[in-house]
Amino acid sequence: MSAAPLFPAHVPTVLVVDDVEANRELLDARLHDLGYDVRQARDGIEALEAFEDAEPDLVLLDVDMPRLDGITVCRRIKAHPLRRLVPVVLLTAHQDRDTRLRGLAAGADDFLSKPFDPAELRVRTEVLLRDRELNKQLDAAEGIVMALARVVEARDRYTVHHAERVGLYAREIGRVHGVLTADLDVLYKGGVMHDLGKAVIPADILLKRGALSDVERALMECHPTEALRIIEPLRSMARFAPIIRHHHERVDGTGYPDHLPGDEIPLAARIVGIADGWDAMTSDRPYRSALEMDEALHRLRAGSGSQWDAQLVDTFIALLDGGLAQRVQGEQLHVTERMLA
Amino acid sequence: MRVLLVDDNPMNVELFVDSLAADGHEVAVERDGLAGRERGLREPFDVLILDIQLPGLDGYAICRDLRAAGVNAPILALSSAAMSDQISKGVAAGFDVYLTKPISPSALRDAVRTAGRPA
Repeated sequence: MSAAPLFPAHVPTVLVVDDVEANRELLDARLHDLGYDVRQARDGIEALEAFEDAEPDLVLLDVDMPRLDGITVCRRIKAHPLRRLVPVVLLTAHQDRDTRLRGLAAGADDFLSKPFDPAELRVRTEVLLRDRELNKQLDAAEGIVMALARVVEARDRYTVHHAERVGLYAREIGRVHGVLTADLDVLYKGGVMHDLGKAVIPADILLKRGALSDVERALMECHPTEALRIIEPLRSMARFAPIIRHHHERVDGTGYPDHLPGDEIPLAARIVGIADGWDAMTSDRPYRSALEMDEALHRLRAGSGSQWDAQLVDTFIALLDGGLAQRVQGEQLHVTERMLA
Repeated sequence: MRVLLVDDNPMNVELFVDSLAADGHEVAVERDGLAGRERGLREPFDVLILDIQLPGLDGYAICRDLRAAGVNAPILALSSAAMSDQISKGVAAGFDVYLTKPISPSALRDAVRTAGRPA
């Protein structure tokens, strides 16, 4: 019996962009022979329009074109939050170092020099398409964990949108603190999934109105390490592990689970710790109502240097003075509307 | 970051140096294995990138010697072979990341960015 595939095989689509018809036809024929679906665009504008129709899996992009040149098209694709994951290969004249440098600055993934060597075309497209497939899978893993984090949040009616706000606060603190732009996304997503481990905490403890017993508290304090067990098999989640494990550490070393002091707590976890603390204080909880802004600020200052990193608290207070809390709640409304739409 | 690249292919060297410089890294280059090992032992680097097939001394040997001398910076292997036994040989020699050729500039930039960032 021959093996029956469960799903039809995915045929990658390659977008060929060149203003010279002969070049397009040549590449089209070769790529078609390699088993890819090929689409063509005659200039930069058509290329961007082709992206609007359907996202290709790979773009081969000529540099000198009328209307919109290849470097600009590349820069536009790489500036887009989702489209930047589509690999872009610039077609350059051999030894054209200047164009290559501009291409690198614009975010090009690779280069092919004209005239094309068929073998090189084959290997380079294969490698980039394989990388793209891996990236898609990593993205998928991340998407699942984010979804799970929101399910966990939904178990507890008191913390609706808490995770989302923690992510937004953490990203802003990171931005002002000078965290690399590429890492701001880690702060946002890490903030959203920081309480993932509460998935395993029984509802009667999670929603208890009164004080927790010692046993209940010990159980509750397992949530960072429980979350790590959930994400451990997912390689792409490793960058969130410091946030998830250490967001309940305190700079005076009395936090959990590892009692790390001061700078030994990873920066990302110190940032999320403040974001989490603030949002917990300013929203309703099973055991108390939300604090007034003034009272929450007072407690934030009181905990500076013992519970939280003093320098980061200062940064955060400056952000709050600039209206951050109102902006985050505004963005939140926007998110809710989008989810309901 | 300060990056050491040991590779004997001039076209790769040029492309990789440009790619890493575009991200603001400072790249030192050696073109044979012995010189690469000496440079890696003599100067501190944040990330080291070693081609496996090199004149003089191969990438595995360089990596083993650097690890034995206490170099603990991330070391990336550039290899034309992606067979699992070669990868395990690379891991045994002390490589952190194993990249197989052809390596796109963006893959190298990502690998250096990720390797150079403390967890």
